[in-house]
Amino acid sequence: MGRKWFIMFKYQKMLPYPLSIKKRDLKMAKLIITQLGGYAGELGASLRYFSHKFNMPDDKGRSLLNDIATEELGHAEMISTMVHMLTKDATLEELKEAGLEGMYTEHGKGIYPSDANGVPFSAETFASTGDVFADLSEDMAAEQKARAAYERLINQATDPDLINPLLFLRQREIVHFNRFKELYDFYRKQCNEGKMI
Amino acid sequence: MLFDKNGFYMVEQSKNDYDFAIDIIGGKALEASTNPKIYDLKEALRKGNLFPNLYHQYKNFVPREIKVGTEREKCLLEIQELDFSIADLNLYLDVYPNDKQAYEIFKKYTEECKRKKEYYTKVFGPLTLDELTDDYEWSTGVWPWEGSGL
Repeated sequence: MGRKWFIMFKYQKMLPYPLSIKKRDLKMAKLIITQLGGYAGELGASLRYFSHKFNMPDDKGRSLLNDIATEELGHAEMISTMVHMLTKDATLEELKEAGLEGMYTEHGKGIYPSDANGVPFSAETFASTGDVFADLSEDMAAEQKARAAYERLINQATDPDLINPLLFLRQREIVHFNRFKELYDFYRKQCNEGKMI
Repeated sequence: MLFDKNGFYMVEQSKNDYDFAIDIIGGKALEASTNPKIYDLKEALRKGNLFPNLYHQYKNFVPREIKVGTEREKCLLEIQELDFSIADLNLYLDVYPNDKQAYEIFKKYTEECKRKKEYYTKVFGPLTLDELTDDYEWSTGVWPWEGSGL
């Protein structure tokens, strides 16, 4: 008897990169949340590529966008976990001191996808144009924006247990950018040779 | 070896903070991408990248070795390392599906990962719902965001 699957996505009880953050750092938590819900965040990245993949013209594009989108979802889980670890067991006094009373009022210590200023995640942070070159250019820009965002976070962090996973995530953006660029250049070449698109 | 205040190895600082090694960050690695060299499993996860031609160090930050404590964490780290290299090979193969050498490594790592996951399931409980145990242990084990977060 074969196994029946009712779902498409499967959760793996394992983060893409080990996190072990022991030092509470509410200020960093307040900033890092932007990589979940900000314009360069992992959630937007994932949804962007999951949307763009439908308009890719060949196997390379469909698979690359689908697989990077899936990876980004794991990074979203990593960011949420980082914020959770950085805020765990914080007292109300400590939250106030870090300027988090607004977030505490709205969300307690819950994880909510927003940017560093508390603005909620919005699909308006990305577009889906139905045009291969427009979409892929946006995907490349998205990776660069996320790289810049991680660099700003690294500049402000002091705990190596926090800096190392941020370095990991920054490097992923560089790899993704290069893969998108390779795909973009491949399509451009195909197009110039009159082969497709 | 020098360490800075955060415990990172100091390497020679760039005169310019924005010396971005544009060939990597700007995506000029295209020519070098076929038959690339790869890092070993540990270094790949540590650096967040399997392919040396795409690695770009940020300022003087050299990613540290990942340290784990318990037997469970050790076992899980080995799976994470394999999973990571498989994922990075996956992206590479999406763009270069005809690189047989890369696919051979992909297959080797995938088999090894499968074996390690079976062992992990037996000893510490399932990582995915695919892996079966005598009793229902899916919901009872440690979730990734709990405890040490591994």
